[in-house]
Amino acid sequence: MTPSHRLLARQMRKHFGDAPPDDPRLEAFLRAVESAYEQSDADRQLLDRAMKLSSDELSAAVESLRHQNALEHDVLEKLRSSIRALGAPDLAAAHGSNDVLELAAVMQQLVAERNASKAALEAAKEAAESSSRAKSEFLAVMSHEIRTPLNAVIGFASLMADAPEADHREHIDIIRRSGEHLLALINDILDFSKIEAGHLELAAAPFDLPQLCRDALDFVRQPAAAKQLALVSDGIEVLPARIVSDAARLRQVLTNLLSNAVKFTAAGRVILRVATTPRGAGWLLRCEVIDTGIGISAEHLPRLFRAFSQVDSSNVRQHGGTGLGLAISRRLAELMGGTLEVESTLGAGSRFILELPVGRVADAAPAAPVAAVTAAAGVLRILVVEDNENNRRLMRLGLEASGYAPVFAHDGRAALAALARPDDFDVVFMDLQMPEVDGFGVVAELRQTVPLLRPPYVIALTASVRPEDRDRVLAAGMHEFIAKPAPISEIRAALVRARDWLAARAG
Amino acid sequence: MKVEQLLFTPAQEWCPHHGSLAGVAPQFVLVFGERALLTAPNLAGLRARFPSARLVCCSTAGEIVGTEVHVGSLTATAVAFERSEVRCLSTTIAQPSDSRACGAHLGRELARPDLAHVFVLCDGAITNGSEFVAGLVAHLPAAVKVTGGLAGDGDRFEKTLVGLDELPTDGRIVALGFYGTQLRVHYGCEGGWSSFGPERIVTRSVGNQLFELDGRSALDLYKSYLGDQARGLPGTAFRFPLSVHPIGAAAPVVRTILSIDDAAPSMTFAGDIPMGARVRFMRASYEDIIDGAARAATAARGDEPELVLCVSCIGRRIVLGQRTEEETELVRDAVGTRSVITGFYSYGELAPQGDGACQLHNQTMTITSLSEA
Repeated sequence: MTPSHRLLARQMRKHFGDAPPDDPRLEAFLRAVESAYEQSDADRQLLDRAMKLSSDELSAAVESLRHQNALEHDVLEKLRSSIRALGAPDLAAAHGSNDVLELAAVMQQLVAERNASKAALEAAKEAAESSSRAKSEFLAVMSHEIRTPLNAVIGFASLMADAPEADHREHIDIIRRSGEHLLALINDILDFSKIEAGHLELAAAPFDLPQLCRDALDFVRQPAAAKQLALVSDGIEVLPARIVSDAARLRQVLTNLLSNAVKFTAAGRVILRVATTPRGAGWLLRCEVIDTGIGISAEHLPRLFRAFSQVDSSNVRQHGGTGLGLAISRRLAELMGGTLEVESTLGAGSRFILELPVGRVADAAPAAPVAAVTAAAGVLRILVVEDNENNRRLMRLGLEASGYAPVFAHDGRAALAALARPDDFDVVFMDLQMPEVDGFGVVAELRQTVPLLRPPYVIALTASVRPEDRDRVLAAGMHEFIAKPAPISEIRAALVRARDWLAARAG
Repeated sequence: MKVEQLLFTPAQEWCPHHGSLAGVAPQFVLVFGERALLTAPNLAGLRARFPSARLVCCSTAGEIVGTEVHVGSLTATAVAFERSEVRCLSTTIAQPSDSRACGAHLGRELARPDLAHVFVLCDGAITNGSEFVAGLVAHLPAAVKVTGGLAGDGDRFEKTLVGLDELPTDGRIVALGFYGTQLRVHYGCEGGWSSFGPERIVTRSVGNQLFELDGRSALDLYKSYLGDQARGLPGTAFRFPLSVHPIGAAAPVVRTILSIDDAAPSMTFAGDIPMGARVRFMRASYEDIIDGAARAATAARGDEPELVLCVSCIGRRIVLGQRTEEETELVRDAVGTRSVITGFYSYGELAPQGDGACQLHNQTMTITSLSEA
C-alpha cells in the first residue's frame, strides 16, 4: 500500500525504499498506524481551532469589559461632576467613591433636596408676589384715602378765599378734620411699618386702668351718639385702680376696636366689657368689644387681621379708615404678650377679645396723669426756635391762647444769641432741621455752659419720628421729643411736664 | 461468589472466556451486546446453558470484556452468589415524562432493610435518566446507592433494547437489587474532562433540547468550533461535551450531545439543559480521559473484587478511537488479575455525584465492583 499520510509515506520510503515488503500483515498494521496518525492530526486541529475560537471569544469579552469599564469611568466622572455642580461639600466623601450605586444615591438625594428647595423658592416667590399685589392694592386705596381729605383741604381753603367770613368757621372745621384724618393715616402707616420692622419699643409704667377705659369710651361717645347707638361699659368699676403696661398702646388698641365697632354698627349697641384675673405675679386683662353690627363672614375671618388685606376694598370707601387698624392692634397685642381674637356671625355682630398679661403696681407712687392736661400759664418763659414762618405763627397763637408769651428765634444763630443768657428762659421748643446751625448745634453750644440738670427744659419739635431720631435727641442733651404735627393739647401737656421738672429742680 | 464470562460471535456461537462457576447454578446472567445480535436464537443457546438464571440483556455501543473492547459481539456474565441474594425487576417506560414514576415504582418494589445496592439498566432512547434516578432513590434507604447505565445502540442512536427473561425490547428498564450483609460493593465515577472558554447562559431550551446560548444558536456555535468536522455531527460533538450548572445546583454535570436538528436548529442532549443554567464547553486529551478511568477504578477497586461492572460513555470510545482499550487496561491494573471485568459503552451513566445524590452522567467511566466476604 501507499499511505496518504505524508509523514507515514516518508517513513515508508525511508525504511523500505520504493519497494515495501508485500505482506498482508504489514499492510493491516500500516492501515492502523495511518488511522491513528489521522485521528491524532484531526484532534490536534480540532483543539487548535477550539483554543483559537475560545481565545477570540475571551478577547472579545475582555474588549467588551474594557469598553464597559471606560463607560463606567465616564458615568462615574459625570456623576461626580454633577454632584460637584449641585454643590454638596458635605458629600465630598462620596466624590472619591467608585461605586456607581452609591454616587447615584447621593445624586438622587441632591436632586430631591434641590426639588424641595425649588418648591420652597416657588412658594416664597408666590407669597412675595401675593404680598406685592396686596401692597399695590393697598397703595391704591391709600392714595384714594389721602387724596380725599386733601381735596377737602384744598377745596375749602380756596372757598375761604372767596367766601364771606361768616362761613369760615364751618370750612375751617372741615379743613381741621381732614388734616386730623390725614395725620391718623400717616400715624397708622408708620406704626405698622415700625412693628413690621421690629422697631417698636414698649413702655412698662403704672397707669390708671379704669380712667384709660373711660377715655377710650369717651373717644367714640360722640360718633356713637350721632348714630343713636347705646355705648355700654361693663366691669370698669371693679378693675384694679392701677396696673403696669404700655398705656399708650393699650389705649390705641381699645380705641381702634371701639371705633370699628361704632363704624360698622348701624343700630343697636356697642359694649366694652373688661375684667382682670390674677395670673402669676400680675393680672390677665381681658377686654371684649361687642357690637350688633354687620359682622364678618367665616370666609373673611382669616383675612381680617392680615396687613394690606381688606375684607372688602369697597368697605374702606364706604366706612373710611386705613384697613391697617386691626393688623396693628393684633401685632401690638402679641408684642405685649397677649392675643386678639374675634368671633363673628355675618349680619349678627362681632365680638373682639383682647387678652393681655399686665403687671401689678408694687408701690403707692401716684400714676402719671393720663389725660386732663391743664395749662399752667404765666410763670414759664418760653423760647421757640423755628425757621418756618407758618409754624412760628401756629405756636404763637396756640401758646398765647394758653396764656404764655413766647419769644421766637427764626434760625440757629438767632437762638444762640437769645440763649447767650440761658437764665432768661425756662423752656425752649427746638426745631431740629434748620439751615446753617441746626437744633443739635444750638443744644451742643448750650451744653457748653449749661448742664442737662439745669434749666432751660429743652423740647425737640421735629417731623423726624424714627426711634433713632428720638434717641439722638435725648443723647444730644434735650429733655423730650414731640413729633410734628403736634396738636396744641400735646404742647400743653409737655409744658406741664416742664413745669414739674422745673419745680423739682427748684425744690 | 462465582463468576463465569462467555463470548458470542456470529462465527463462534457461545464459548467460555474467563472464570468458572465450578458447577454452581448462577442466580443471574448479564448479557451486553450488539442490538442486531440480541435475537431469540442467539439467546436460546445461553438459556440452554443456564436454565434457572434470570437473564438480563442490554444493547450497547461496544462491549467490555476484560481489557478488550468488542463491537458486533455479545458477552454474557453468569453470577452465582453464595451468601447474598439478588432480585431482578423490570418495568416499561412509554415516554420520557414517565421516567420519575418508573423509578419510584422500582424503588418501592426493591426497598427492604437488607438492600445493599441497586444496579440499573435502562432504555437509552426514551428514559430521562435524571428524573428516573430521582424517582428511584426517593423510595430507597438513604445509604443505598444506585449505579448503572443507559443502553446503547452502536453509534446509530436509533433504539436501544433491554430485557429480563425475554427477548429484549425498547422502552424497558431492569433493576437488580442486591441484598445481604456479606456483599461488598464499591463504585467510582470519573470523566477527566475540563471546562474551557467563556461561560454562557442557556437562553432557550425545552427539556433536553437546547436552542440558544446567550441568545445565539447553540448548533451554530458548535459548528463554528468543529469547523470541517461539523460534517460528522452529532458524533463529532462528543469532542466538546457541555458542563451544565443549573440554577441552584451544588455542582455542574457533564452533558453529551445525542442528536442535532438542522431545521430547528437545536441539539438534543443526554440529559436536561435547564433554562438559565451556566454552561461551558469541555475538552480533554487522551491522557486526561484515560486517567479518569484509572481514578474511577481506584475508587471502586475494594479488595480484589470478583466482578467489576464497567459502564463507559460512547463519547469516550469515539474520542479515544484506537486507544479505547487503554482505559480498560488501566481498570485491570487497578483491580488486579483475579476480577472478571465486564461492561459496555452506554448512552449515559448512573452513579452518585461525589458523595451526593445519584445522578445521570455523561462522558464518564462508571465502575461498580462486587465481592462477597
